[in-house]
Amino acid sequence: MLPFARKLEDLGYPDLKADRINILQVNLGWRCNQACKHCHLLAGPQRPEQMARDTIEEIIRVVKRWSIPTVDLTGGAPELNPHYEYLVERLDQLGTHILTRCNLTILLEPGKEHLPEFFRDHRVELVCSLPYYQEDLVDRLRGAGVFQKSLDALRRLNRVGYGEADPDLKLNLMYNPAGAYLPPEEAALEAVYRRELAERHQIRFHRLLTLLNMPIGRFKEFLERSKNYERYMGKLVSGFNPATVAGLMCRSLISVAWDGRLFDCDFNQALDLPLLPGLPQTIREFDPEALATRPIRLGDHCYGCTAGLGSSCGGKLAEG
Amino acid sequence: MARTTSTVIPFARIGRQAQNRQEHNSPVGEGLLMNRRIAGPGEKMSHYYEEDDLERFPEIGKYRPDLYDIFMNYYQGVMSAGALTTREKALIALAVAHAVQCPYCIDAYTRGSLEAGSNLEEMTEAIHVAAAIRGGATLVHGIQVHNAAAKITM
Repeated sequence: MLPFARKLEDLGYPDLKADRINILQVNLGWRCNQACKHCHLLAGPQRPEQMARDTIEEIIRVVKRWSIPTVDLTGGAPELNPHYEYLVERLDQLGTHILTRCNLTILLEPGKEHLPEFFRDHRVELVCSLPYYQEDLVDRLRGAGVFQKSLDALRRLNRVGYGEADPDLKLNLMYNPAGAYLPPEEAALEAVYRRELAERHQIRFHRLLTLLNMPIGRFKEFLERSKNYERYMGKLVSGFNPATVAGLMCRSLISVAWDGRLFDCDFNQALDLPLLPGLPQTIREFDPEALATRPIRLGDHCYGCTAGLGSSCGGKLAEG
Repeated sequence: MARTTSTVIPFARIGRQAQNRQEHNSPVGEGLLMNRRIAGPGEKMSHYYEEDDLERFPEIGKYRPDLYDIFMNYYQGVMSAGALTTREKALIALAVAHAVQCPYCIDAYTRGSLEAGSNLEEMTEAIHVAAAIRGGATLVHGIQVHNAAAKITM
Protein backbone atom coordinates (compact mmCIF):
# COMPACT_ATOMS: atom_id res chain seq x y z
CA MET A 1 0.00 0.00 0.00
CA LEU A 2 1.35 3.42 -0.95
CA PRO A 3 1.72 5.41 2.30
CA PHE A 4 -0.90 8.16 2.51
CA ALA A 5 1.72 10.89 2.83
CA ARG A 6 3.37 9.70 -0.41
CA LYS A 7 0.01 9.64 -2.15
CA LEU A 8 -0.54 13.29 -1.23
CA GLU A 9 3.01 14.16 -2.23
CA ASP A 10 2.38 12.69 -5.67
CA LEU A 11 -0.66 14.94 -5.94
CA GLY A 12 1.25 18.08 -5.08
CA TYR A 13 0.62 18.25 -1.34
CA PRO A 14 4.14 17.59 -0.03
CA ASP A 15 3.02 18.43 3.50
CA LEU A 16 -0.67 18.76 4.13
CA LYS A 17 -1.32 21.82 6.29
CA ALA A 18 -4.23 23.22 8.18
CA ASP A 19 -5.52 26.49 6.78
CA ARG A 20 -7.53 27.79 9.75
CA ILE A 21 -9.09 26.75 13.06
CA ASN A 22 -12.83 27.15 12.87
CA ILE A 23 -13.71 24.28 15.14
CA LEU A 24 -12.34 23.17 18.48
CA GLN A 25 -13.38 19.55 18.85
CA VAL A 26 -13.34 18.59 22.51
CA ASN A 27 -13.38 14.98 23.61
CA LEU A 28 -14.83 15.09 27.11
CA GLY A 29 -13.97 11.49 27.92
CA TRP A 30 -14.19 7.92 26.79
CA ARG A 31 -16.91 6.89 29.21
CA CYS A 32 -20.12 5.92 27.47
CA ASN A 33 -23.34 4.18 28.43
CA GLN A 34 -22.93 2.10 25.25
CA ALA A 35 -20.11 -0.02 23.81
CA CYS A 36 -20.77 0.04 20.07
CA LYS A 37 -19.04 -2.38 17.73
CA HIS A 38 -17.96 0.46 15.42
CA CYS A 39 -16.47 2.76 18.09
CA HIS A 40 -12.98 3.95 17.14
CA LEU A 41 -12.20 4.90 20.76
CA LEU A 42 -13.21 1.63 22.46
CA ALA A 43 -15.49 3.75 24.63
CA GLY A 44 -17.74 2.08 27.18
CA PRO A 45 -19.23 2.23 30.67
CA GLN A 46 -16.00 1.13 32.38
CA ARG A 47 -13.64 3.66 30.80
CA PRO A 48 -12.14 5.97 33.43
CA GLU A 49 -10.93 8.72 31.07
CA GLN A 50 -12.78 12.00 31.78
CA MET A 51 -11.79 15.61 31.16
CA ALA A 52 -11.12 17.36 34.47
CA ARG A 53 -12.51 20.75 35.50
CA ASP A 54 -9.21 22.61 35.13
CA THR A 55 -8.90 21.42 31.51
CA ILE A 56 -12.50 22.53 30.90
CA GLU A 57 -11.52 25.98 32.21
CA GLU A 58 -8.63 26.03 29.74
CA ILE A 59 -11.05 25.23 26.92
CA ILE A 60 -13.28 28.15 27.93
CA ARG A 61 -10.24 30.45 28.18
CA VAL A 62 -9.02 29.52 24.70
CA VAL A 63 -12.44 29.85 23.07
CA LYS A 64 -12.91 33.27 24.67
CA ARG A 65 -9.38 34.55 24.03
CA TRP A 66 -9.27 33.50 20.39
CA SER A 67 -12.98 33.78 19.51
CA ILE A 68 -13.22 30.22 18.22
CA PRO A 69 -16.56 30.16 16.38
CA THR A 70 -17.58 26.51 16.94
CA VAL A 71 -16.96 23.99 19.69
CA ASP A 72 -17.79 20.37 18.86
CA LEU A 73 -18.31 18.25 21.97
CA THR A 74 -17.74 14.53 21.66
CA GLY A 75 -16.79 11.46 23.68
CA GLY A 76 -17.67 8.68 24.72
CA ALA A 77 -20.93 10.19 25.70
CA PRO A 78 -19.92 13.83 26.32
CA GLU A 79 -22.97 14.35 28.53
CA LEU A 80 -21.53 11.86 31.04
CA ASN A 81 -18.75 14.25 31.92
CA PRO A 82 -19.84 15.90 35.20
CA HIS A 83 -18.76 19.31 33.84
CA TYR A 84 -20.58 19.02 30.50
CA GLU A 85 -23.45 21.34 31.39
CA TYR A 86 -21.13 23.89 33.00
CA LEU A 87 -19.05 23.97 29.81
CA VAL A 88 -22.12 24.40 27.57
CA GLU A 89 -23.47 27.21 29.75
CA ARG A 90 -20.17 29.09 29.66
CA LEU A 91 -19.72 28.61 25.90
CA ASP A 92 -23.29 29.77 25.31
CA GLN A 93 -22.55 32.96 27.28
CA LEU A 94 -19.61 33.55 24.94
CA GLY A 95 -21.90 33.23 21.92
CA THR A 96 -20.08 30.14 20.64
CA HIS A 97 -21.83 27.77 18.29
CA ILE A 98 -22.03 24.54 20.30
CA LEU A 99 -22.37 21.13 18.76
CA THR A 100 -22.82 17.90 20.70
CA ARG A 101 -22.39 14.38 19.33
CA CYS A 102 -25.15 12.56 21.13
CA ASN A 103 -25.70 8.79 21.22
CA LEU A 104 -29.44 9.38 21.94
CA THR A 105 -29.80 6.66 24.60
CA ILE A 106 -28.03 8.94 27.09
CA LEU A 107 -31.24 11.00 27.20
CA LEU A 108 -32.98 8.07 28.91
CA GLU A 109 -30.33 7.51 31.57
CA PRO A 110 -31.34 8.36 35.16
CA GLY A 111 -30.59 12.00 35.92
CA LYS A 112 -30.26 12.94 32.23
CA GLU A 113 -33.93 13.24 31.35
CA HIS A 114 -33.73 17.04 31.35
CA LEU A 115 -31.16 17.13 28.55
CA PRO A 116 -33.58 17.85 25.64
CA GLU A 117 -34.70 21.07 27.34
CA PHE A 118 -31.11 21.87 28.34
CA PHE A 119 -29.95 21.46 24.73
CA ARG A 120 -32.83 23.64 23.53
CA ASP A 121 -32.19 26.40 26.06
CA HIS A 122 -28.56 26.68 24.94
CA ARG A 123 -29.25 26.20 21.21
CA VAL A 124 -26.95 23.18 21.04
CA GLU A 125 -26.75 21.67 17.56
CA LEU A 126 -27.10 17.90 17.80
CA VAL A 127 -25.48 15.20 15.71
CA CYS A 128 -27.08 11.95 16.81
CA SER A 129 -25.88 8.47 15.97
CA LEU A 130 -28.47 6.38 14.17
CA PRO A 131 -26.57 4.02 11.89
CA TYR A 132 -29.72 2.78 10.15
CA TYR A 133 -33.49 3.18 10.19
CA GLN A 134 -34.19 -0.45 11.06
CA GLU A 135 -34.08 -2.12 14.43
CA ASP A 136 -32.06 -5.28 13.78
CA LEU A 137 -29.08 -3.52 12.28
CA VAL A 138 -28.92 -0.78 14.90
CA ASP A 139 -29.23 -3.25 17.77
CA ARG A 140 -26.55 -5.48 16.26
CA LEU A 141 -24.10 -2.57 16.12
CA ARG A 142 -25.03 -0.70 19.27
CA GLY A 143 -26.61 -3.21 21.64
CA ALA A 144 -29.99 -4.81 22.28
CA GLY A 145 -32.83 -2.32 22.68
CA VAL A 146 -30.81 0.66 21.45
CA PHE A 147 -33.01 1.29 18.39
CA GLN A 148 -36.24 1.66 20.35
CA LYS A 149 -34.51 3.82 22.96
CA SER A 150 -33.09 5.97 20.16
CA LEU A 151 -36.57 6.48 18.71
CA ASP A 152 -37.85 7.42 22.15
CA ALA A 153 -35.04 9.96 22.51
CA LEU A 154 -35.68 11.40 19.04
CA ARG A 155 -39.37 11.85 19.86
CA ARG A 156 -38.40 13.73 23.04
CA LEU A 157 -36.13 15.98 20.96
CA ASN A 158 -38.90 16.58 18.41
CA ARG A 159 -41.27 17.48 21.24
CA VAL A 160 -39.02 20.30 22.48
CA GLY A 161 -38.63 21.65 18.93
CA TYR A 162 -35.57 19.85 17.52
CA GLY A 163 -35.83 18.76 13.90
CA GLU A 164 -38.60 21.29 13.27
CA ALA A 165 -38.69 24.66 11.50
CA ASP A 166 -36.48 26.54 14.01
CA PRO A 167 -33.08 26.61 12.28
CA ASP A 168 -31.33 27.06 15.64
CA LEU A 169 -32.49 23.67 16.90
CA LYS A 170 -30.65 21.49 14.42
CA LEU A 171 -31.09 17.75 14.73
CA ASN A 172 -28.81 15.88 12.35
CA LEU A 173 -28.44 12.13 12.22
CA MET A 174 -25.24 10.21 11.60
CA TYR A 175 -25.16 7.03 9.51
CA ASN A 176 -22.23 4.65 9.40
CA PRO A 177 -22.03 1.31 7.60
CA ALA A 178 -22.69 -1.88 9.56
CA GLY A 179 -19.63 -3.60 8.16
CA ALA A 180 -16.69 -3.60 5.78
CA TYR A 181 -18.22 -1.46 3.07
CA LEU A 182 -18.43 2.22 2.18
CA PRO A 183 -21.34 4.53 3.02
CA PRO A 184 -24.07 5.18 0.45
CA GLU A 185 -24.56 8.49 -1.33
CA GLU A 186 -25.71 10.92 1.37
CA ALA A 187 -28.67 12.64 -0.31
CA ALA A 188 -30.22 9.40 -1.58
CA LEU A 189 -30.01 7.74 1.83
CA GLU A 190 -31.28 10.87 3.57
CA ALA A 191 -34.46 10.71 1.48
CA VAL A 192 -35.04 7.09 2.55
CA TYR A 193 -34.32 7.88 6.23
CA ARG A 194 -36.70 10.83 6.11
CA ARG A 195 -39.52 8.78 4.59
CA GLU A 196 -39.02 5.74 6.86
CA LEU A 197 -38.64 7.68 10.11
CA ALA A 198 -41.62 9.93 9.32
CA GLU A 199 -44.00 7.24 8.10
CA ARG A 200 -43.15 4.51 10.59
CA HIS A 201 -42.14 6.50 13.65
CA GLN A 202 -43.34 10.10 13.13
CA ILE A 203 -39.81 11.41 13.67
CA ARG A 204 -38.34 14.46 11.97
CA PHE A 205 -34.73 15.56 11.54
CA HIS A 206 -32.76 18.07 9.48
CA ARG A 207 -29.87 16.37 7.73
CA LEU A 208 -28.37 12.92 7.47
CA LEU A 209 -24.58 12.78 7.55
CA THR A 210 -22.70 9.70 6.42
CA LEU A 211 -19.46 8.64 8.07
CA LEU A 212 -17.14 5.89 6.95
CA ASN A 213 -15.89 3.40 9.52
CA MET A 214 -12.23 4.14 10.19
CA PRO A 215 -10.04 1.04 10.16
CA ILE A 216 -9.04 1.54 13.80
CA GLY A 217 -10.37 0.61 17.25
CA ARG A 218 -13.14 -1.99 17.58
CA PHE A 219 -13.89 -1.80 13.88
CA LYS A 220 -10.29 -2.73 13.06
CA GLU A 221 -10.56 -5.68 15.44
CA PHE A 222 -13.65 -6.80 13.52
CA LEU A 223 -11.87 -6.38 10.17
CA GLU A 224 -8.96 -8.49 11.32
CA ARG A 225 -11.12 -11.13 12.98
CA SER A 226 -13.29 -11.49 9.89
CA LYS A 227 -10.25 -11.37 7.55
CA ASN A 228 -11.61 -8.28 5.83
CA TYR A 229 -8.80 -5.89 6.76
CA GLU A 230 -6.67 -6.09 3.60
CA ARG A 231 -9.65 -5.91 1.29
CA TYR A 232 -11.17 -2.97 3.17
CA MET A 233 -7.89 -1.05 3.11
CA GLY A 234 -7.55 -1.87 -0.59
CA LYS A 235 -10.98 -0.40 -1.12
CA LEU A 236 -10.09 2.81 0.74
CA VAL A 237 -6.82 3.18 -1.16
CA SER A 238 -8.36 2.52 -4.57
CA GLY A 239 -11.23 4.88 -3.73
CA PHE A 240 -8.87 7.80 -3.08
CA ASN A 241 -10.53 10.96 -4.38
CA PRO A 242 -8.28 14.06 -4.75
CA ALA A 243 -11.38 16.29 -4.58
CA THR A 244 -11.73 15.48 -0.88
CA VAL A 245 -8.31 16.82 0.15
CA ALA A 246 -9.20 20.51 0.22
CA GLY A 247 -12.05 19.94 2.68
CA LEU A 248 -10.40 17.46 5.04
CA MET A 249 -11.60 18.24 8.54
CA CYS A 250 -8.08 18.36 10.00
CA ARG A 251 -7.50 21.51 7.92
CA SER A 252 -10.06 23.54 9.84
CA LEU A 253 -10.34 21.73 13.16
CA ILE A 254 -8.18 20.91 16.13
CA SER A 255 -9.01 18.11 18.53
CA VAL A 256 -8.50 18.28 22.29
CA ALA A 257 -8.29 14.99 24.16
CA TRP A 258 -9.80 14.38 27.60
CA ASP A 259 -6.34 14.98 29.13
CA GLY A 260 -5.87 18.31 27.34
CA ARG A 261 -3.47 17.04 24.67
CA LEU A 262 -3.92 18.35 21.12
CA PHE A 263 -4.45 16.20 18.03
CA ASP A 264 -5.21 16.79 14.36
CA CYS A 265 -8.44 14.82 14.67
CA ASP A 266 -10.32 12.42 16.92
CA PHE A 267 -8.92 9.45 14.97
CA ASN A 268 -5.33 10.50 15.63
CA GLN A 269 -6.37 10.79 19.26
CA ALA A 270 -7.61 7.20 19.20
CA LEU A 271 -4.27 6.12 17.71
CA ASP A 272 -2.31 8.28 20.15
CA LEU A 273 -0.67 10.25 17.33
CA PRO A 274 -0.24 13.75 18.81
CA LEU A 275 0.56 16.89 16.81
CA LEU A 276 3.94 16.88 15.08
CA PRO A 277 6.95 17.72 17.26
CA GLY A 278 7.68 21.42 17.66
CA LEU A 279 4.01 22.38 17.80
CA PRO A 280 2.10 23.24 20.98
CA GLN A 281 1.03 19.92 22.47
CA THR A 282 -1.66 20.85 25.01
CA ILE A 283 -4.61 23.20 25.30
CA ARG A 284 -2.60 25.20 27.86
CA GLU A 285 -0.06 26.02 25.15
CA PHE A 286 -2.73 26.85 22.55
CA ASP A 287 -1.28 29.28 20.03
CA PRO A 288 -3.35 29.96 16.93
CA GLU A 289 -0.36 31.43 15.10
CA ALA A 290 1.44 28.12 15.29
CA LEU A 291 -1.59 25.88 14.98
CA ALA A 292 -3.76 27.44 12.27
CA THR A 293 -1.33 26.57 9.49
CA ARG A 294 0.33 23.57 11.14
CA PRO A 295 1.48 20.57 9.11
CA ILE A 296 -0.85 17.63 9.72
CA ARG A 297 0.30 14.32 11.13
CA LEU A 298 -0.71 11.71 8.56
CA GLY A 299 -1.19 7.97 8.72
CA ASP A 300 -2.65 5.30 6.47
CA HIS A 301 -5.97 5.54 8.29
CA CYS A 302 -6.29 8.95 6.55
CA TYR A 303 -7.33 7.01 3.43
CA GLY A 304 -10.62 6.64 5.30
CA CYS A 305 -11.31 10.37 4.97
CA THR A 306 -10.45 10.55 1.26
CA ALA A 307 -12.22 7.47 -0.12
CA GLY A 308 -15.13 7.99 -2.49
CA LEU A 309 -16.94 11.20 -1.65
CA GLY A 310 -14.84 11.57 1.49
CA SER A 311 -15.82 11.30 5.10
CA SER A 312 -15.73 13.64 8.05
CA CYS A 313 -17.54 14.53 11.25
CA GLY A 314 -19.64 16.79 9.01
CA GLY A 315 -20.42 14.06 6.47
CA LYS A 316 -19.18 13.78 2.89
CA LEU A 317 -16.46 16.09 1.55
CA ALA A 318 -16.99 16.09 -2.21
CA GLU A 319 -19.82 16.17 -4.69
CA GLY A 320 -20.55 13.14 -6.83
CA MET B 1 -14.60 9.63 -16.87
CA ALA B 2 -15.93 11.64 -13.98
CA ARG B 3 -15.88 9.94 -10.61
CA THR B 4 -19.43 8.94 -9.93
CA THR B 5 -21.26 9.12 -6.65
CA SER B 6 -22.22 5.56 -7.15
CA THR B 7 -20.87 2.83 -4.98
CA VAL B 8 -22.75 0.43 -7.18
CA ILE B 9 -20.30 -0.18 -9.95
CA PRO B 10 -18.43 -3.10 -8.43
CA PHE B 11 -16.91 -4.51 -11.60
CA ALA B 12 -15.77 -1.11 -12.80
CA ARG B 13 -14.34 -0.30 -9.40
CA ILE B 14 -12.57 -3.59 -9.19
CA GLY B 15 -10.91 -2.72 -12.47
CA ARG B 16 -9.69 0.59 -11.04
CA GLN B 17 -8.66 -1.00 -7.77
CA ALA B 18 -6.54 -3.66 -9.41
CA GLN B 19 -4.96 -1.08 -11.70
CA ASN B 20 -4.05 1.16 -8.74
CA ARG B 21 -2.48 -1.73 -6.90
CA GLN B 22 -0.40 -2.72 -9.86
CA GLU B 23 0.73 0.88 -10.40
CA HIS B 24 1.88 1.22 -6.82
CA ASN B 25 3.21 -2.29 -6.41
CA SER B 26 0.86 -2.59 -3.49
CA PRO B 27 1.22 -5.36 -0.96
CA VAL B 28 -2.57 -5.41 -0.77
CA GLY B 29 -2.60 -5.91 -4.49
CA GLU B 30 0.02 -8.58 -4.20
CA GLY B 31 -2.08 -10.26 -1.58
CA LEU B 32 -5.05 -10.31 -3.83
CA LEU B 33 -3.53 -10.63 -7.24
CA MET B 34 -0.15 -12.22 -6.91
CA ASN B 35 -0.45 -14.68 -4.07
CA ARG B 36 -3.32 -16.38 -5.75
CA ARG B 37 -1.72 -19.48 -7.17
CA ILE B 38 -2.96 -20.26 -10.64
CA ALA B 39 -3.03 -23.93 -11.56
CA GLY B 40 -0.29 -24.94 -13.98
CA PRO B 41 -0.72 -27.13 -17.04
CA GLY B 42 -1.92 -30.60 -16.08
CA GLU B 43 -2.77 -29.50 -12.53
CA LYS B 44 -6.30 -29.65 -11.29
CA MET B 45 -7.84 -26.44 -9.96
CA SER B 46 -9.26 -26.82 -6.47
CA HIS B 47 -12.40 -24.85 -7.34
CA TYR B 48 -13.96 -23.44 -10.47
CA TYR B 49 -14.93 -20.29 -8.59
CA GLU B 50 -12.28 -18.53 -6.50
CA GLU B 51 -13.39 -15.44 -4.58
CA ASP B 52 -10.24 -13.55 -5.51
CA ASP B 53 -10.81 -14.12 -9.21
CA LEU B 54 -13.32 -11.28 -9.18
CA GLU B 55 -10.39 -8.94 -8.59
CA ARG B 56 -8.80 -10.31 -11.76
CA PHE B 57 -11.62 -9.11 -13.99
CA PRO B 58 -9.33 -6.58 -15.76
CA GLU B 59 -7.26 -9.47 -17.11
CA ILE B 60 -10.08 -10.00 -19.59
CA GLY B 61 -8.94 -6.72 -21.15
CA LYS B 62 -5.54 -8.18 -21.97
CA TYR B 63 -6.91 -9.35 -25.31
CA ARG B 64 -9.08 -6.98 -27.32
CA PRO B 65 -8.74 -4.14 -24.79
CA ASP B 66 -10.87 -2.01 -27.10
CA LEU B 67 -13.86 -4.29 -26.51
CA TYR B 68 -13.15 -4.38 -22.79
CA ASP B 69 -13.10 -0.58 -22.63
CA ILE B 70 -16.35 -0.35 -24.59
CA PHE B 71 -17.94 -2.82 -22.19
CA MET B 72 -16.68 -0.95 -19.10
CA ASN B 73 -17.94 2.40 -20.38
CA TYR B 74 -21.30 0.87 -21.19
CA TYR B 75 -21.37 -0.87 -17.80
CA GLN B 76 -20.62 2.33 -15.91
CA GLY B 77 -23.23 4.21 -17.91
CA VAL B 78 -25.86 1.58 -17.22
CA MET B 79 -25.17 1.36 -13.50
CA SER B 80 -25.00 5.10 -12.80
CA ALA B 81 -28.09 6.82 -11.42
CA GLY B 82 -30.62 7.73 -14.09
CA ALA B 83 -34.38 7.28 -14.10
CA LEU B 84 -33.65 4.54 -11.55
CA THR B 85 -31.59 5.17 -8.43
CA THR B 86 -28.29 3.35 -7.84
CA ARG B 87 -30.03 1.54 -4.99
CA GLU B 88 -32.75 0.22 -7.33
CA LYS B 89 -30.18 -0.76 -9.94
CA ALA B 90 -28.10 -2.63 -7.37
CA LEU B 91 -31.17 -4.61 -6.31
CA ILE B 92 -32.01 -5.46 -9.93
CA ALA B 93 -28.40 -6.53 -10.44
CA LEU B 94 -28.57 -8.69 -7.33
CA ALA B 95 -31.75 -10.38 -8.57
CA VAL B 96 -30.22 -10.99 -12.00
CA ALA B 97 -27.06 -12.31 -10.34
CA HIS B 98 -29.20 -14.97 -8.70
CA ALA B 99 -31.11 -15.73 -11.87
CA VAL B 100 -27.85 -16.30 -13.77
CA GLN B 101 -26.34 -17.89 -10.64
CA CYS B 102 -23.07 -15.97 -10.82
CA PRO B 103 -21.16 -16.16 -7.52
CA TYR B 104 -18.97 -13.19 -8.49
CA CYS B 105 -22.01 -11.03 -9.20
CA ILE B 106 -23.73 -12.16 -6.00
CA ASP B 107 -20.62 -11.17 -4.05
CA ALA B 108 -20.28 -7.86 -5.87
CA TYR B 109 -23.94 -6.84 -5.62
CA THR B 110 -24.42 -7.92 -2.04
CA ARG B 111 -21.74 -5.36 -1.25
CA GLY B 112 -23.10 -2.99 -3.89
CA SER B 113 -26.59 -3.11 -2.41
CA LEU B 114 -25.31 -2.49 1.11
CA GLU B 115 -23.18 0.39 -0.14
CA ALA B 116 -26.27 1.85 -1.78
CA GLY B 117 -28.00 1.86 1.61
CA SER B 118 -30.11 -1.23 1.05
CA ASN B 119 -30.78 -3.93 3.62
CA LEU B 120 -31.29 -7.67 3.84
CA GLU B 121 -35.08 -7.35 3.78
CA GLU B 122 -35.01 -5.58 0.41
CA MET B 123 -32.25 -7.82 -0.92
CA THR B 124 -34.19 -10.94 0.02
CA GLU B 125 -37.30 -9.56 -1.69
CA ALA B 126 -35.24 -8.95 -4.82
CA ILE B 127 -34.06 -12.57 -4.75
CA HIS B 128 -37.68 -13.70 -4.41
CA VAL B 129 -38.52 -11.68 -7.51
CA ALA B 130 -35.80 -13.58 -9.39
CA ALA B 131 -37.08 -16.88 -7.99
CA ALA B 132 -40.69 -16.04 -8.86
CA ILE B 133 -39.84 -15.12 -12.43
CA ARG B 134 -37.69 -18.22 -12.86
CA GLY B 135 -40.43 -20.38 -11.37
CA GLY B 136 -43.11 -18.70 -13.49
CA ALA B 137 -40.97 -19.05 -16.59
CA THR B 138 -40.61 -22.77 -15.93
CA LEU B 139 -44.32 -23.22 -15.37
CA VAL B 140 -45.45 -21.15 -18.33
CA HIS B 141 -43.38 -23.42 -20.56
CA GLY B 142 -45.82 -26.12 -19.45
CA ILE B 143 -48.09 -24.66 -22.12
CA GLN B 144 -45.48 -25.80 -24.64
CA VAL B 145 -45.88 -29.27 -23.20
CA HIS B 146 -49.61 -29.06 -23.56
CA ASN B 147 -49.26 -27.80 -27.14
CA ALA B 148 -46.70 -30.43 -28.07
CA ALA B 149 -48.75 -33.19 -26.51
CA ALA B 150 -51.91 -31.99 -28.27
CA LYS B 151 -50.07 -32.06 -31.54
CA ILE B 152 -49.15 -35.72 -31.27
CA THR B 153 -52.11 -37.01 -29.37
CA MET B 154 -55.32 -38.31 -30.91
